Amino acid sequence: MNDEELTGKKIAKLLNHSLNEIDQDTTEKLKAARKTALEKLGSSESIIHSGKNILERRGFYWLKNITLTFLSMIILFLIWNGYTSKINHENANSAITNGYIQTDDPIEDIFPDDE
Amino acid sequence: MATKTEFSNFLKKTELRAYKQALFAVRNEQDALDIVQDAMMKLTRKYNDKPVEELPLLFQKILQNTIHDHYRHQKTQLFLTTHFSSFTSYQKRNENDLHDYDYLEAVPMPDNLDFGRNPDSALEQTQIINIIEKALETLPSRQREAFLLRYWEGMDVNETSIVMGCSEGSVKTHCFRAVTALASILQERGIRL
Repeated sequence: MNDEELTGKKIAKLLNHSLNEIDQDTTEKLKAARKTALEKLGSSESIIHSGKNILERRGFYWLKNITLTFLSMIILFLIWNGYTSKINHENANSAITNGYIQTDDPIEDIFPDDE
Repeated sequence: MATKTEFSNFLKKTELRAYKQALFAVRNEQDALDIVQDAMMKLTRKYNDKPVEELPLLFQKILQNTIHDHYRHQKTQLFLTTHFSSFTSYQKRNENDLHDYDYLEAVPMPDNLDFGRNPDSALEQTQIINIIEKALETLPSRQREAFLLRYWEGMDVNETSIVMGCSEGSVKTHCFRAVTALASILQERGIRL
C-alpha cells in the first residue's frame, strides 16, 4: 500500500466517526425513506419525498390536479363570457345604427315636389 | 434475485453513508435526504430483479447520477434566479455571511489524535470531523466522488471507474489529487495523520 492510499484510508477512517453524529431526526427520516422504498419494491407509483418536498406534497398531491382543472374551467368560462358579451355588444350597436338609419330617413314633407 | 429482506439489509447498511455522500455534494440536509430517497426508490423499483451482489455498485451509480441530476436542476434554477438575487439588500447579504461563519474553524487543533472517551477527546474528534467535512466540500466534485467511492466505500479502481463512468487512469488521478489536497488542508490546520 503506497502513501496516498494509506493517507486516504486514514482520512476515511476519521470520516466514519461522522456517521455517529447524524441526528436522530435524520436517521428517522432515512428509516422512513427506506420503508417507503421497500413498500414500493417493483411498483411504479410516484414518490413523496421525506425532505422538504414532504411539506409541499403531504399526501394531498392529487388536489393539485383538481385545482388545475378548476382553474382552467374558470379561465375558459371567462374567455367564453368575454366573447359572447362582445358579440352582444356589437349586435346592440348595429341595432342602434339601424334604428338611426331608419329614423334619419328624410321625411317626404321636407322635399316637396311641387316647389 | 435479491429478496425484500436482502434489500432491506442492504439499504439499512448503506443509508447513512449515502446520506453523508449526498450531503458533502449538495451541502443541504433536505436535498441530501431527497436524493437518498430518490436513489432508494429507483433501486427498488427498477432493479428489483438484480442479485444482492450487484446492489452496492448499482446503488452507488444511481446515487451519483441522482446527485448529478440535482446539480443540473440547481444550475437551471440558478440561471433563472441570478438576476433577481442582485435585488437583495447589502445588510441581508452581510447577515448571511455572518451565519456562514463556523466558529469551530477558529479553534486550534492538538498534535495528538488518540481519541478517548472523555468529553475533551469527543470535542476534538468533532472538530477534526468538521474540518475534514469542510475540506471535502471544497474539493472539486469529481475528486470528492472518486475519494469517497475509493476510500470511504472501499471500492477498487475498476469499480470506481464504472460508477464514475471514466477510465481507471482518471480515477487514480482524481484520487491522488483529492488525497493530496485533503492532506495539505489538514496539515495547515495542524492535524497530523
